[in-house]
Amino acid sequence: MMLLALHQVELQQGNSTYLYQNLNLQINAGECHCISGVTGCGKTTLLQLMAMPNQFNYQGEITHSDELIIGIIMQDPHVQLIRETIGAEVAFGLENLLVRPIDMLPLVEQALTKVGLVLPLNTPVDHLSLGQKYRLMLAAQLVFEPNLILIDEPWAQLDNQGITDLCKVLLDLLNTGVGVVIVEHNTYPFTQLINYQWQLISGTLIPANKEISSSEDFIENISRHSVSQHDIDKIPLTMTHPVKQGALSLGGRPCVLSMSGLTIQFANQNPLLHINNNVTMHSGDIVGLFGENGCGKTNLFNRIVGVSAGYKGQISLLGKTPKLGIFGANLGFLMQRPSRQLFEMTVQQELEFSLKRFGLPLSNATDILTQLNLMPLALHSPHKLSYGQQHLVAFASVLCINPKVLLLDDPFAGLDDNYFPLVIKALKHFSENGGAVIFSSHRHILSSLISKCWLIERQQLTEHCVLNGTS
Amino acid sequence: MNSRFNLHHSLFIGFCATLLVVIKSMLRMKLGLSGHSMFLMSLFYLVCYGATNKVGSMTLCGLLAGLLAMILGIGKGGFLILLKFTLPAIAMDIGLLFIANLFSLKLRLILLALIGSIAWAVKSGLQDFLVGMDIKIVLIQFGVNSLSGSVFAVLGALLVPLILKRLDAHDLLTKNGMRNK
Repeated sequence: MMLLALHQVELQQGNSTYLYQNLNLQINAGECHCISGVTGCGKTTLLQLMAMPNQFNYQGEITHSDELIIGIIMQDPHVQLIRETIGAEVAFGLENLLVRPIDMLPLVEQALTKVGLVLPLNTPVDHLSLGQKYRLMLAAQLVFEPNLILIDEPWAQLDNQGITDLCKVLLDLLNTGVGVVIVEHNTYPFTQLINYQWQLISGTLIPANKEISSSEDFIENISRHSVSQHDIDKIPLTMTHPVKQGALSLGGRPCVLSMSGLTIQFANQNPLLHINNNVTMHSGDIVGLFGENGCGKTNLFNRIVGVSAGYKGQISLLGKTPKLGIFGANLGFLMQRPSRQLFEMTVQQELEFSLKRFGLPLSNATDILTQLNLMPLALHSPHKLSYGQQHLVAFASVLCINPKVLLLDDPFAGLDDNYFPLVIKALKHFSENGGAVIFSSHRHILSSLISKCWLIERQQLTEHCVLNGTS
Repeated sequence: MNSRFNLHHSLFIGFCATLLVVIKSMLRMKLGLSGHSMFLMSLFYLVCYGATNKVGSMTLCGLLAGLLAMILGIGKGGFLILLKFTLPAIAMDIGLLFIANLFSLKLRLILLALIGSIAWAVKSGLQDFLVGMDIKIVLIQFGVNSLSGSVFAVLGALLVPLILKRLDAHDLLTKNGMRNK
């Protein structure tokens, strides 16, 4: 049974260029389609066009079947979550469908369990990590039993357990006749689900060879170590070992960050994260902060830069106790949601803002944009870019001031294989010039790049030296 | 021009109307200059038009602002405060019917601002007439109000393209907004 069809669809972007041309796609019940394409090619917009065609001035034909109920899960949960607690958020769809309150509770609990978010229903949404919010969004859509699910880049937001859970849920749904469309750079984890794989190139969907494409992606992504849970479990044994005090040869490099006896805890809640031993970072270090969704990576970053208080213990960054605004151009902080730190009218102005503020040469902006291959976007509004492109622009804006310490919260989300090596190259260059970097991820990645990793497991952060690190 | 309003448009118009009334009540400008209220009115009405590109958006904004001002007791016009807000908006929308696809955006905005200020002066003249003023004085006052109201209204209109440019850069204009026009 046909659920949704696009026939000869064309969509203009601005006044001249076409985002899509002669785009054709038919999604039938029980089919899983996967759409890939470079960062900014229009994958997210395509999902929005499928779900809400009346919001676009398109040419061609978009057909929805009479029985179609669409569930859409966007890349950034914050654009979709509207209620204050997780129970209310999941129940929102049911309320709109006039489900009786007494029937809602089991449905809400069932949906949350399906996506692995087993928390009290009155848990505030604000207390969830981005990955947990993504799970919540999934539950909020699954609860009203859509027959077509559109998912935007789940791999970037979910940890490996989350991806495993998602695949199980999607497989069950596909078997019951639900259609699925996944937009994803890294198709490897979904290989077992995908019936049709497409590449969005120059505004047209071109069939991709599933076998070849997935294996190619996997080989290319080896550089990111975006590997399976089984492989990840082996990483601490084969590639890293816990650091003993004074075990590293630091070559006289100054310590830029040290933390000891640290406990992060929200009021009236169990501790989120402990750091019992002294963990340090020196100039020239690249540190990977790894842990599953919700383990406290972003909360730790917020404490290090002084955005949030609410911790016990000691943090010393560049010899000072963190407080917002005291580090000036010495600290660059890339937030997990790039849109939170973009505010100017053009990409060029975005980069120049900090340079002007700190009296640095404006040519830095052009240099970084060239280095990251962002010059074609220099005059675009940063607010209209894709999630991955916004990440790049925000990254460029913190890198161009050449800080001493760079904190990057999940910087690789939404990046394709074209931009990924450019970011790595920029980080290497930054580190070789004495800059210190911490980046977070919910996967163990870039083991060949990092000098040490901080692993968060069971609310404990431990420091590990990477044996084949570069420094 | 699509005639239907969607939720996005409605929220935006409601926001503009609220902001207009709130700013007006907070500032309480006693400048002693006739027509200065046309600055805010023309600014917000024309932003509504620019953001939605729909006939009726200014009337809706004026009606909402008038009702809100009447309910909150802002100004000293009583029921007439509704007329004060809606009459210029209705006049601007009627004017828009004739010039919707003519001229550049800036010139169109200025023309609409002038139409609005004349309507506002008509309302003031009506008030003067109702309180029993001599017809000659009413006409003189109408002329003065039209002129001073026009100056403020045009000033407000000139700010609109800048605001629309910012809204567009922040991706806050819907598909029908006046981006790049």
